[in-house]
Amino acid sequence: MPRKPNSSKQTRAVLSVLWNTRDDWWHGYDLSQQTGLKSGTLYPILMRLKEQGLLVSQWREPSQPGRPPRHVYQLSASGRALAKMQAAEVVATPAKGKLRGGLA
Amino acid sequence: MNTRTSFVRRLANRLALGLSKISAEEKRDWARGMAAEVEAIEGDWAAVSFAVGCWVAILRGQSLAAMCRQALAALLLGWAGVKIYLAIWTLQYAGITADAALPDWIGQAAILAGIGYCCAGLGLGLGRYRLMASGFAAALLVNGALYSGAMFGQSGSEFWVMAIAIEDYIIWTNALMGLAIIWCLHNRREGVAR
Repeated sequence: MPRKPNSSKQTRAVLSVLWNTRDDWWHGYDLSQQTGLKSGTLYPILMRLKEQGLLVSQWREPSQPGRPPRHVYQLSASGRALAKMQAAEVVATPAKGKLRGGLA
Repeated sequence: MNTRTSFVRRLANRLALGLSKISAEEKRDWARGMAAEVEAIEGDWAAVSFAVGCWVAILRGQSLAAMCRQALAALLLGWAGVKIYLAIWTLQYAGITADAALPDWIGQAAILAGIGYCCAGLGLGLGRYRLMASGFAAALLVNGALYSGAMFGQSGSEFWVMAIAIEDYIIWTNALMGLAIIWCLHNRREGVAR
């Protein structure tokens, strides 16, 4: 049976963190810290979510002068809908996991 | 406060800078975002670790064509290294193992050809196709002159020179150049060439 898209533990962890703080914008490094995912795993997920229109990103000027602008991420409307659906599934069938996103 | 940038931090910055260079055009924005992120990380080792992961992420997202281009560029650069090393060896030890003493200009010309390959490899790797074409043209011309001169100007070493000429000039130069040109034509058709 083919696996549902965006249902891997890692993707669900990212979606969970973004859903739980849905009004905040996240930096890649902070998201990596929060989910416990390495950048090599996190960024391909972010790229895929953005390609699918589930994520929006923008450039933000840094708080410290002399630093380059940073990319920040937030769930789009369709991303929020997916994350909400996945969160509801997890409430229905709780499971233990290693990732810190809460959905694993 | 220690204002000197540590080696580890410099390594992280170098890795971050390299992200834009290795990424395909459509991932350039992501690469810049990752590089900015690396700069914002406080810990030096954490920055290196994050930057290495970013390289993995960029390379994982590359198309097969881009991976082939980088592999071919690496092959060219490797061959340039071998060529230059052999040329230096020839300059140092000419006449010791070869059946006839080789004049210095053969080694010097081989170094020039190696630099030509090097430019071609860098040009291909960085998507600078004029540099690649110039490098290949230089390698072709210098190698052609080198082997013509070696074959017609020397007596007693024709077989040896011919064998190297076949291996280097015909196989390597033409094969690598052919592959690079096929790659460029293919990607122009696909519309992904930079």
